[in-house]
Amino acid sequence: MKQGRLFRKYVVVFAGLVSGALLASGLIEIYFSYQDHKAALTAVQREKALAAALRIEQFIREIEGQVGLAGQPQIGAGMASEERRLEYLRLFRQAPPVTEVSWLDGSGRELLKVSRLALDVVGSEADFSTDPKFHTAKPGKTYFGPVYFRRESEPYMTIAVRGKGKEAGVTVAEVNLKFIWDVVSQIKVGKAGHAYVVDGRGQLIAHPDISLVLQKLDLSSLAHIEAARSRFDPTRKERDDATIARDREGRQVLTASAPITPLGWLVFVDLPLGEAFAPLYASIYRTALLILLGIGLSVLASLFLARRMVTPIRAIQAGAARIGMGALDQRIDVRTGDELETLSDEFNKMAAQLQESYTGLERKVADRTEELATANERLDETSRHKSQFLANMSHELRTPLNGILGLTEMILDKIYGEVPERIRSALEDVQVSGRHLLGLINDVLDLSKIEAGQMTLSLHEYSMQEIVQAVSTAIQPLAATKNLTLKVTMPPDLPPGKGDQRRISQVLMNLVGNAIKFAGAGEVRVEARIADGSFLVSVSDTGPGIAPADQKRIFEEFQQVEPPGQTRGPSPGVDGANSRSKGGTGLGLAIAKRIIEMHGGRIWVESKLGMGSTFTFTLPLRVERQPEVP
Amino acid sequence: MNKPFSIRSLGSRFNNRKSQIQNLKWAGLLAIPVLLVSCIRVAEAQQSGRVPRIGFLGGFPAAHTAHVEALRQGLRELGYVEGKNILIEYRYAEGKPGRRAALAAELVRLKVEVIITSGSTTTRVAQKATTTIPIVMGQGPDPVRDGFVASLARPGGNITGLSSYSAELTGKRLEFLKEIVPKLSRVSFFGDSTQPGAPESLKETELAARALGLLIQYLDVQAYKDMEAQFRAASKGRADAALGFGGPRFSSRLAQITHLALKSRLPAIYPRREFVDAGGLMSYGASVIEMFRRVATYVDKILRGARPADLPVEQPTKFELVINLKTAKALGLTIPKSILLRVDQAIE
Repeated sequence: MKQGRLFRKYVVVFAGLVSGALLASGLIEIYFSYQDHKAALTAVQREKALAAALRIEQFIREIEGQVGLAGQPQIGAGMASEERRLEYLRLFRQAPPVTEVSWLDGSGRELLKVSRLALDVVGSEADFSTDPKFHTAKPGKTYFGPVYFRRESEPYMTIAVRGKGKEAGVTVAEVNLKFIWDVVSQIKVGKAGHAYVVDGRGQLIAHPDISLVLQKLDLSSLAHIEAARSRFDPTRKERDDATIARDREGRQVLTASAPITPLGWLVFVDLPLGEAFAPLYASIYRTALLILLGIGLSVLASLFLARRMVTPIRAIQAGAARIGMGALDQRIDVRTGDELETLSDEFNKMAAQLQESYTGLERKVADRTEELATANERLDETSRHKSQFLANMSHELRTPLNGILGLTEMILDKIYGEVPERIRSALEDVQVSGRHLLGLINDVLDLSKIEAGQMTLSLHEYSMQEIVQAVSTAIQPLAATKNLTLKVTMPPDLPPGKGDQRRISQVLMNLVGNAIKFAGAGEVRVEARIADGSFLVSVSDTGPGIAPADQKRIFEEFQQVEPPGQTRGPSPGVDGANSRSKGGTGLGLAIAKRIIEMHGGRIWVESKLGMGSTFTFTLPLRVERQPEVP
Repeated sequence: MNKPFSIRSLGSRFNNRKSQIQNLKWAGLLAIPVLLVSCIRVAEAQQSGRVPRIGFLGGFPAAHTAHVEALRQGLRELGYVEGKNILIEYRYAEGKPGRRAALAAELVRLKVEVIITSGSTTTRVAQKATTTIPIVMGQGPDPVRDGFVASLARPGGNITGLSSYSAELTGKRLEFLKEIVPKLSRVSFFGDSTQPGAPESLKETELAARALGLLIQYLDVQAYKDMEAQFRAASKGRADAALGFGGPRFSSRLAQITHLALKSRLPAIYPRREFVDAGGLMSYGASVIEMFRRVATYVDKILRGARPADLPVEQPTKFELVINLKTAKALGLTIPKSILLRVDQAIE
């Protein structure tokens, strides 16, 4: 059933188009938005890392500056120990991260050490000339030592600044790097992000969570830290790209790093990926929701649109169907103002034309019917005339014929005197011909009556037994003359029937007569019984048999069959003169068939050439009404 | 002529079944994500209920008001409001012997999440009372020496917190005394042998004193009643200055001590600035108040699931030199430039 497919098609196409467009544009937007966001984020991260690196560097540089100043407040002038000590105390005040400061003279011997925690040491003359902090420190090139831990838990760094001028000594400061913690924890990286500093070996030196530093956490195993370290080149101040990596706790973060060049440290700036991409996710979610909404709306709209388009088409389809089924006065009402309206108008015009032609046809049919009726009437007239004629004619014919036969009978009965032998045989011939003619006239009349539908059956009670017995008695003499035995088989309890006794006898007589006529020798059997609620009567002979081709023909008028072996003219049996040799009018079986059929029965023949024939007919037990003429 | 076949009749037949079903289908589909999102939001909004409880084990309430206030402030900064989302059980031994242990046991019975201790004595008592409940030391001179932690970087047990570095500064304190007291030669060291680590801190002091060429007179204050007697002993021993005063026995008697010091005309340097606020001459040490503020960070971490074994002990980064100018004047001392340069705060 193709119903509804156009609608579905339209809905699918419309909705698909709009949804597809929405989806495509939405996805493209999401993709580009992701790229843009990521690019922006990475740029920001890089900047943050750089800024953080700068701040930490400034922190260290400030301390460096202060240490330098403390070491050489005046160019050139030497300093007495006490003066230097006071200078260092000033340094303590100005630079809280400095825990210890010591003075090495031009040859690397320690002359003064001032500490916040430990006892001050004056003039120890300890030799640090081979110590890198002494010999690496050059004017303008401060020595920044590696990060080491005091008491296993405090990160420290040594800074050594050489004074200017010849033989200038070196001021060595021990810097407590916990103070960087303030700097690092103040670096804001989004809401949940943070900055941290790692030294050249990957060891954590500063982190907003100080306890991680105190644990001396080694982060060199983390992939992104390892990568940054390997890329670290103190000579170039190039920025590294921000990347996505896993932090210490395995969470995904967006991380950027920047080097703090003089120190060989790396500052990392981590932002949890979820937070970094949160606005993007929010916007994706929003877009997805909008797309879904759009798709939903587009489906609704397409349902509506499709309905609007399909409804007039359906109207046309339904209207056309109805017109096609014959309701030609139906009209399709479609007012869409477009081609569909034109189409429906064309349909309507077509229906109107059909209607016209139908009415035209109907008129013609009516005319023709009238003509036919008149013709039929005339035919009926003709037929009636014919029957009338036949009836008259037969009567006219029969009367003189009966006269001839009667008189001949009387003459033969010697009523008019003796009849010489020669005259007797001639008169007997006359009788035979006369009877034959009478029979023919009777048969023709019967047949025409039957065909005109004017033979009426006289329906009364009869006894089949009586009919069979009467016929066999009547035919006995004829059988005897041909040396044929007539055998009758009947059950003793045949019920009474209702029908036209005379006509039934006629049929049986005809059949038995034919049997005797055609049987050369042997016997003729007559059987009568009940079968399926009807009489079943059969007449069998041991005659020559009837060829299958002839079996149909014999029930037609004027058909007679000559037994094979006797060559005849081109049309055997039709020549009336020849049929006289066997007697019969050629009408008997035709009449018998009509009579049986008028009773509502059936008659047929079973025969094989050389094996004889059996004619059988059935008769309903009780025929109440004469069936209509077919 | 029959009624023409119209759109309207077809349309109305149409409306009822098919488009209604279509509309329902789409409304349903749209509703699903909305439902999902709201469910997730509701689930997120639900918080787990319990209010955490912590215990504070101290000596005298008066000695600890500032510390407790600092702790509360530190907790507030981290989002904990006492009474709303955190409860603090305060237990003060108030000097009664054996009381500390009982109070510690009580806190353990209360199943507090963290026990904060105010000093090494308290820490020791708490350590005996429990090895499972996390203990955060508010201060303590040397947790490694006292056996509270395996190392500062990795405590390894249920104790962590802050260490005040106090004993190491004893040399520096002697230095300061030497600078401010002319011709300093004998110094009285007021100690409390009942305190854990007392012998070690005496040893440190003696070492430093030797390096500075000073003599130490050890004065043991085992009970409050001994305080006055020991000051008399100091005077008798012709001490030029005094130092020590570490431990709860001293920090709970600030006024008395500073008064006695002044009366004995003994310049003293104390481990904490509270003494100077109360009239003492000088103090050099870390800010205990800051340390108690830092305790809040430990509490927060532990409540979030961190193990004390993994939290390193923090040491103070700032050590302040505080001077009471009035007392100095009263003692007739002039403050040298070197001290002035170092002083972080001077109290009038």
